[in-house]
Amino acid sequence: MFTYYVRLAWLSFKKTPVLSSLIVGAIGIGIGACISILTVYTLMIQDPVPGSSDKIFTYKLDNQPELEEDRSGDSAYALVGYRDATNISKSNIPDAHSLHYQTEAVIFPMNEGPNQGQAPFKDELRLASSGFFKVHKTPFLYGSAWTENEEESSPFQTVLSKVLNEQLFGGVNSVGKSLKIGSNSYKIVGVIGEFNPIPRYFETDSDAFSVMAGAVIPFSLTEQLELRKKGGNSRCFEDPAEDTFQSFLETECNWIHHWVAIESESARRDFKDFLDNYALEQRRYGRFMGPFTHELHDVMSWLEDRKVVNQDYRLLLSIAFLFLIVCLLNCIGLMLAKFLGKSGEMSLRRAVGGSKKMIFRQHIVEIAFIGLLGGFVGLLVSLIGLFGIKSLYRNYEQLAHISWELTLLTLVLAVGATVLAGLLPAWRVCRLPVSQYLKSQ
Amino acid sequence: MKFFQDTRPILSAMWRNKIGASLITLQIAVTLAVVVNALFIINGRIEKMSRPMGIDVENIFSIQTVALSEAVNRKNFIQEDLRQIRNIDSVRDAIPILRYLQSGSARAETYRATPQGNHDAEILANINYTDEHGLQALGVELLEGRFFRADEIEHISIDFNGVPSKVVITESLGRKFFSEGNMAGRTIYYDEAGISIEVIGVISDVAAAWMARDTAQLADTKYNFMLHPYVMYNDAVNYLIRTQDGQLASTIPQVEEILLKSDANRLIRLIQTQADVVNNSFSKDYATVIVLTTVMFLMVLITGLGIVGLASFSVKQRTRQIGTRRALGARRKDILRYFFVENLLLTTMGVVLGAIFTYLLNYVLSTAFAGERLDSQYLLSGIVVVYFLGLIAVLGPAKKASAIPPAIATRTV
Repeated sequence: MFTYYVRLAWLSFKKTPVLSSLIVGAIGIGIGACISILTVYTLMIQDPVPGSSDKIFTYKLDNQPELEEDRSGDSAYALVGYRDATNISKSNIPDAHSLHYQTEAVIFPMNEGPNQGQAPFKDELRLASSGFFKVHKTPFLYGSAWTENEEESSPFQTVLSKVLNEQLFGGVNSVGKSLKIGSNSYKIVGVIGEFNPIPRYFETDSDAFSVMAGAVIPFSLTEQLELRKKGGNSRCFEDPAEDTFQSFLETECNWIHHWVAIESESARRDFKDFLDNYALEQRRYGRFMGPFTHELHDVMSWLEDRKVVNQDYRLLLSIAFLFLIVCLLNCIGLMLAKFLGKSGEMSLRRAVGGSKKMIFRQHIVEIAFIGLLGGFVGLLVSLIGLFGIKSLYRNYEQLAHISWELTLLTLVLAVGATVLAGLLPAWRVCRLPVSQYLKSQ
Repeated sequence: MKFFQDTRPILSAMWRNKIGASLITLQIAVTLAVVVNALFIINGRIEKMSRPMGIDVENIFSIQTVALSEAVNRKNFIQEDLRQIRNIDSVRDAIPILRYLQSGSARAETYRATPQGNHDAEILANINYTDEHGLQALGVELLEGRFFRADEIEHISIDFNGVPSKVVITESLGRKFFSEGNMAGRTIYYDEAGISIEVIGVISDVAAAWMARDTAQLADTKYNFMLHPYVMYNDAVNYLIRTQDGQLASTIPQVEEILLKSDANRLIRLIQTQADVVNNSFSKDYATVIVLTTVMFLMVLITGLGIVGLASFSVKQRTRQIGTRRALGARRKDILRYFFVENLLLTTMGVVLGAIFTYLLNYVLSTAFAGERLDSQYLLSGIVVVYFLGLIAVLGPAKKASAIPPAIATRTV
């Protein structure tokens, strides 16, 4: 019976091709617009580290030098000062500490290998403690990170991003080679593999949706090389006392990202107490005069706090949803017209023994068929939509790609929404007064 | 009115097809609500994107040069670069800057009009650096006082933390400190210690780096821009270059060539026209405008096609009735009128409901996204669009209906 209904659906489609195409088109465009915006939005609000997002934490400390109003929402507290970061990273409550920040450096490609003759270029450079790789669980394509001890004893080591390794070495294993970054030479000890948490929760002050590039070198080199953060935020509550780098480090300036990995709930509480005590202790030294002491955030609450989602997307999503509603209203109207157009035929079927139930079923199959066609159109439309979004925004390449789940969702949503919209027309058509239509024939 | 003389039979026909009529009414209502709100948002964004930048955007570009060797005398290096760039015929002037202007990346500091004061008295300003060529290079007007002299320009390193004794500020910023009177020559204060700084000159407004960001904190600070008389020598130096009118594109390669010729051991990167820098700052707004416009257009299209579809269908359904009416003496234009009046009635119901939806949607959006309240002008233009759309959509089917020959009534359909 089902295949028979499908055949009937196809015949009915062909009988009113314009009306049917309008219905399919309306569903397709409505679903497509919704899915393309939903795709970007879901990637924006998704959990970047599923499974461990509630075991990775960062904190805010109120290191205002004077007592002022509560400005805990201020982006200044989304970062930590050098002094506090290094002090707190000595706590052994967390399983690992990741201190890191971003700067830029000139990279000198080597005069050997396949890419010789490449000109020097500026690239992202991250300074990160060895814990960076543990806390954020970076996968390694080749080699591994430096150890905590090496960070002090032999700091001139580097881990390359996959992108940089492609660029310099064509993607082959470069571990053991040396690379000149800025004015120093570094030994390459590792190459990071596929690692692109979206959003990049640990650096929300720069572009959270871009691809991580460049090289990583030990955090401990900060003082020796007198490196300053570039790209991202730095906030100072006061000016350094002297024109030296050391003086800058001792100033109430916030610029470092500090993340910790904490497995257990009890350790989390201990760490909270630790931060509390730390803040109170600093108050005794005359620092930390602000009204709040500290806040501890896991990944998801941090993304919320930092408002990583492009606010316009909530707006666009609600508009797209209304658009879908209009498309569906349109479909109900058109389907109603289409089905009532078959009144004579249906009355005849009823007269020769077709039950209301059968008529209803037949139409539901027809509607689902139309919905499925609409779903395919919707997929096409959403691909076009995503292509458009990609070309409109910088750095949205990673956000604008459609997954298998979303493909399936598109089809299910299209069929589901159409069937829902078609319930009324189908119900109307099986309740037609048979005799009246037969007479008028 | 004669035009509406068949209203009663039309209404009773609609009453018999309650579901169909209410669906189209509802669809028109939601379309109206979305179109009006989208238009309102789009217009707001376009207004935002066309805020004046205050500098000669069309003829300015910036570049960064990175010295690759350590042993360069950076002060001489920068001065030599600038001398060569300024010597190019098509270059009007050039200055070394701290950050690319209006790029969203900014150095900001707060200042006060009084030596002491609390947080509320602090005024946020976007800082950039310049040498004595700033006026000409930016294309701004000097409104009061004077600009920096060559002997006032200091060459500083990245670790420098001093405060300048003299600054030049924009008119809008100046008015935040001094509500009336001349501003040049007056003093503003920096830091808890109340370090005094002389405002030596006031220039026409220049947009701050955060021009594209509309947060409550930054409200009313869009033109808070200040120049310090500094040239910073670091491994990277940024130059802002202003060309003669219309010669931007041809000047860029000349500057590159000259810089590489004078010292090949450097990187030249981030060559960006000011227009691109500004567009990048507003890219999210631009994208929102495009997406909203597309959705709005599609929505009008779908609703229009829906009306066409329903009207065509009803013409087909009523072929025999129309034939009968024609046979009984109705003229073609009577049939046309029937469909137009029917459409006008449907649209009017949609518009009444839609006006309510429009304000509801605006209320929801403005509370959820901190938007503004709708200007009723937008509703009016939306209503015009919807009526127009309905008339166009029904035109084809109505014409078809009026072409039905009276003879059809005598045949079986």
